[in-house]
Amino acid sequence: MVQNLISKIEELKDVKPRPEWVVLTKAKILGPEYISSENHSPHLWGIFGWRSITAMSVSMAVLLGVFIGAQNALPGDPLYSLKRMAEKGQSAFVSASEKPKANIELASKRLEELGQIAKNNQSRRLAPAISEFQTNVASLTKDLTAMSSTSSDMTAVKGIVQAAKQLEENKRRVEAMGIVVGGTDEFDNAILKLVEREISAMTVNDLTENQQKTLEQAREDLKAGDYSSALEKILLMMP
Amino acid sequence: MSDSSRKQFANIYDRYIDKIYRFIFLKVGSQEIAEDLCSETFLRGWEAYEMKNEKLKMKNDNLKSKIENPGAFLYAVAHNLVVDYYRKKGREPIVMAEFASEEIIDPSQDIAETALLNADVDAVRQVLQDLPDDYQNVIIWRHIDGLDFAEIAELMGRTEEAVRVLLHRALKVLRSKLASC
Repeated sequence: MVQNLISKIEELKDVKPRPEWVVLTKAKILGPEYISSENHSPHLWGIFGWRSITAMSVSMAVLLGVFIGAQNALPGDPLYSLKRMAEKGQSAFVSASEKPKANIELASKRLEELGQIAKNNQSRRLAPAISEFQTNVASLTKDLTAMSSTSSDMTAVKGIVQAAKQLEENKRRVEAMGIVVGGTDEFDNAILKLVEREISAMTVNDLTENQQKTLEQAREDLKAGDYSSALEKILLMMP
Repeated sequence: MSDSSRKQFANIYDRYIDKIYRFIFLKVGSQEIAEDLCSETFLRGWEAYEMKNEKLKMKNDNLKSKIENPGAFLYAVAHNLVVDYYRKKGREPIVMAEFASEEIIDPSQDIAETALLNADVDAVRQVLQDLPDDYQNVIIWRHIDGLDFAEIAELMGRTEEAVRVLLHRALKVLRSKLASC
């Protein structure tokens, strides 16, 4: 009995990292001359002729191609971590005021990937994709919560509202496929605060009759928990 | 940093990359997150290795630099990163065995045996991921990484006897949870 259990556990020895990731990570830490590894890719030494400039250019072109190819990768694909690396690199250049919007867009992307995985019926990839989404949501919730309640950068706020609306729609779409993404309570709370804040900011403005009606509808959407519709109405009222 | 230091760390990398990756993956259950945390583990390992070598150089040029027990160091870094990851994520699956409520359902031998035979490796992985942290560690180190009790005792800061008892309990809880799946 115990032996059967141990045999099952030992099967987990088959869990191994992707060889190309192992090689790239080693090169990233120790330098490109370590791109070849005896343990993981003896064949790569033959492919990449590091001593020759020509071979170096070919390698760069290959890597560039790989990065481009990685843009459509889904969680579980060999190139997915490259896609994430590229995204991290891009987010390093985003200003603090645009960061929440950028993070919401990334979370939206994760939901699109989830939808794609569900469409392809790749159920084994659902768990890692959901986990990716939750990680993104945790980070953007922090950004939203940290946002100043008196932010006067209307362009940034409008961008956030637009991105949040898109995220809400993607979330609904994915949930309609029967996928429970979970872990979004804090995010919903942050969006709720965002909507409340924008509604109260607009309340103090001089509003036309039509705008007052729209604002009232936004309040009702908010009460009903329909954040997507509330955000849409707020957008309509923004200059 | 000298080429020889890089070569030494490259050997450490080759020796431990599979083990550390697997250790993290079995705790987080996601390839992407495991890759991120594993890269960070080795990056920190390399930084610590460089720092230690620099200090040793300053003390004595002829002293052969080395990192004491790199495996233990890397496992400790990986473990801390996993704990941080779950803390940032806002949930706390890292539970120490001492504080875990041991709701061990004691299924009959037959039911447990059948459940075990039917369990696929993914189910074992998922149940393992839900175990208290110390239970996960002792099972991974003993039955997956193949460490002996003395090595595990050093990693966990316990006696060998305590590790044997912990492993026995961990397997019992794992079996029980698999049976109730």
